[in-house]
Amino acid sequence: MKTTPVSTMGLINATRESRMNLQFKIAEAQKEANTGRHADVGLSIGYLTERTLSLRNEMDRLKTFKDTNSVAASRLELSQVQLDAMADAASKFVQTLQAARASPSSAGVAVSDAKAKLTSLTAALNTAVNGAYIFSGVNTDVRPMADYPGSATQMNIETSFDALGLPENITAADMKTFLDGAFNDMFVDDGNWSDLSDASNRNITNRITNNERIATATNANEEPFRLLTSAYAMIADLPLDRLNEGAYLAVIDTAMALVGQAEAGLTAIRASLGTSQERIKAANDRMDVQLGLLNEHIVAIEGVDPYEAQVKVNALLTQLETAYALTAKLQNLSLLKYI
Amino acid sequence: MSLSASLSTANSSLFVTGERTSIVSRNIANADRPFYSKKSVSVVTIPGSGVKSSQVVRAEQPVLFRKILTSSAAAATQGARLDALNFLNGTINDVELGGSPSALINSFSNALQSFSAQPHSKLAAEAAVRSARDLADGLNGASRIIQQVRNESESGIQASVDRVNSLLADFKTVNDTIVKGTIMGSDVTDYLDQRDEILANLSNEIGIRTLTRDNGDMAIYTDGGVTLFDRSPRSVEFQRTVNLTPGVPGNAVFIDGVAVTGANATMPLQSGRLVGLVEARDDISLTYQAQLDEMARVLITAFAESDQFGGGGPDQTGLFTWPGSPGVPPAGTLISGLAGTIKVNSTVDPDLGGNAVLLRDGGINGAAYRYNGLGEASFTDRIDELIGNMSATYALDPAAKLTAGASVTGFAGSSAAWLQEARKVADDAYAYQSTLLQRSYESFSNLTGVNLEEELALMLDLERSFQTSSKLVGVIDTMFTSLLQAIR
Repeated sequence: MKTTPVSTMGLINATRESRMNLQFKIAEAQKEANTGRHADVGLSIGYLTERTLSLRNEMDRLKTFKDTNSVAASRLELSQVQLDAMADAASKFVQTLQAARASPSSAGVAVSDAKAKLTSLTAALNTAVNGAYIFSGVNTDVRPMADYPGSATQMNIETSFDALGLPENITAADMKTFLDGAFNDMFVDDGNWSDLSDASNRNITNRITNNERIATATNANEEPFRLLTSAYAMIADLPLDRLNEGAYLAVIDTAMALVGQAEAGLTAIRASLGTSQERIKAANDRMDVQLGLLNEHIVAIEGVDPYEAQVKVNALLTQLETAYALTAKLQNLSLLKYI
Repeated sequence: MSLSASLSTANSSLFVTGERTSIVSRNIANADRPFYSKKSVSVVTIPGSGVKSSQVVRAEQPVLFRKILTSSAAAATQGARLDALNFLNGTINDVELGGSPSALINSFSNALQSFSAQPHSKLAAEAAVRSARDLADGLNGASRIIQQVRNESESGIQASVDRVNSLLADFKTVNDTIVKGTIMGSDVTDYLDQRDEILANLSNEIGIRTLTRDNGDMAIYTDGGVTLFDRSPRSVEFQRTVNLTPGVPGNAVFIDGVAVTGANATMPLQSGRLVGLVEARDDISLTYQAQLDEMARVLITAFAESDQFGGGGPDQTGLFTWPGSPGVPPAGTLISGLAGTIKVNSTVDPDLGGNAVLLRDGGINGAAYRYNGLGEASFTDRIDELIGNMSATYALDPAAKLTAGASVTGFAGSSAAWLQEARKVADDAYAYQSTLLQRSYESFSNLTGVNLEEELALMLDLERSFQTSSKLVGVIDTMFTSLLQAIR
């Protein structure tokens, strides 16, 4: 009969090794059950590390985009609020002008209204968030609008108006020519406009996703702002009470036309900023979906089934107990006890 | 005369039993020695006059023993390699922690994106520069870890070589005793065990092959074919470098004047701890160092500034600098140790009195390199260009053993994958080889080792035999007495 020999060393070593092995495995399985991930992720997934790293990086990037998008979104929202108020003020101003047209005696109301609106327009265009002016274009550190009263523009207008002679003698036609010409020039011509505005023509833009860059603000050099400023300045600054009726009506009509034009322009700007807001929202929604998917992918690569890990822990514990029991039994199994 | 013949037979039995008992007690005493082999004496019948013991025999399993030698050498190679890789894993750790070069590069890129969303903000600029400094520090730290692995491997090689030399000296003593003992016919079995133990230890350091010759003499060769021991030990030499130069392989190990490691080895070693250590020092570490160096080089290049005023000035290093600044490192060429020396330019670093906003405007190298000529506070062109550069493809040195061209972000990911894959492979190989070693040793030990119960049973047997023989002597004595009385 052939027997397989067993040495005492072999017997002791075998149980010792299996115990050590089991203890190590239990520690690992317990960690996996607790975290739901491989105990040593890199070791378990090998070259897939590249994939999970890039997924994690992509996730961080999307989160960064969402953060920076919120900065852009709040700037857009604030711009919208200000534009809204400007449009509102403009349409109210049209009503005031209509009243003033009907009764020249109430022109004083229109003048004070225009002065107030000019101040609030300047203030609105000088809105700043976090130390950055939002209507400054890319020159965000520079206050875009100078105060109209006392500005070079006001002086220039005064000079050229004085050249027309006494206000009482200005004809409607002369007044029209003056308003469309020298007066208008002070606001439409870029060189003259720069007396009032330090804004840059280049709008602030933001990257909202990896390859989408959109304008996220407008700037004080846009036409509606020039038109509104010029309309308010026209009513506020020209000596309406001294003009003859023809000239008076010419001023009121020009101002109304300018405000009307400005209102249309404001709507266009608001629509374009609205589009930007829409795109940010769409991008954020898309990124939310992506984030969810990325997370799923990461879990699929790095994760373990926690239920399976728990079952593994239990099975290993039973096994270890058996190993202990076996060791104790072997210890007792000696011929010495029987002789 | 048959009575006295019986007496001498019983005597011989007593004598042999005594001898066998001494063998049993030797076996029991050495039962827990790993390479002790079970001894036995065979009993020979002398026709007509009882028994005598022949020579002491040891249980031998030469094939299994050779298996132990080869698998312990292979396991030691993988073990040394795995140790180095696990140490290098300190540069990456758990991907969740975000300490890997890949994650640091990415978080720097994200900081740039945040800066691009609020370019007027000095705080955002400073945050981006600090993130750049974390990245540079991360690369410096990783470089230090590699250097540490290399220096530790270097001292490991020295220790291994010293051990081989001392084992060979021991081997000579034991081998000489065996040869002498065999010629004189004395019991050399315990020396043979000792020699096996030395061989097992030796195979841990170096893969060996043995050749047994007349009179139990043994010669040792490395698995590459160089003589390690032939009547006298050959010297194993190694010139240790205290601080290794990054990017330069360390010194080779010489046996008997022949290089056995490194690129110029004519008869290279195949296995053993020494091989694993040399690989860790020269192969694994240098490749990983090359990968980090290339990351650093691409970063320096990606953030370099070019002349904006048409003066034809050369590109100069911007946010990241190196000892060769303001020159930009040549494209596609590895500069060893660059990852250890990459720094954030102090003109930009706010904590060193620099101006972080230069990251937005350019002009780190003077007015001619200024991108934001109009001084606009929300100028984003330069930041965007930099973000674009981080995902642009650059040519890479083949020494990095990854793709020929990649973006710095992609490259960092591949490098991490390379390390983890190497770790996984080494871990699997180590698990396999050490299991193989365990199994071989187990079967070897089962076949050649001592089983206490068996020795105990044998002892009982011998006890009976001794008792019976003694009784026999007593009986013969009684018979002689009665015979002598009858004669008187």
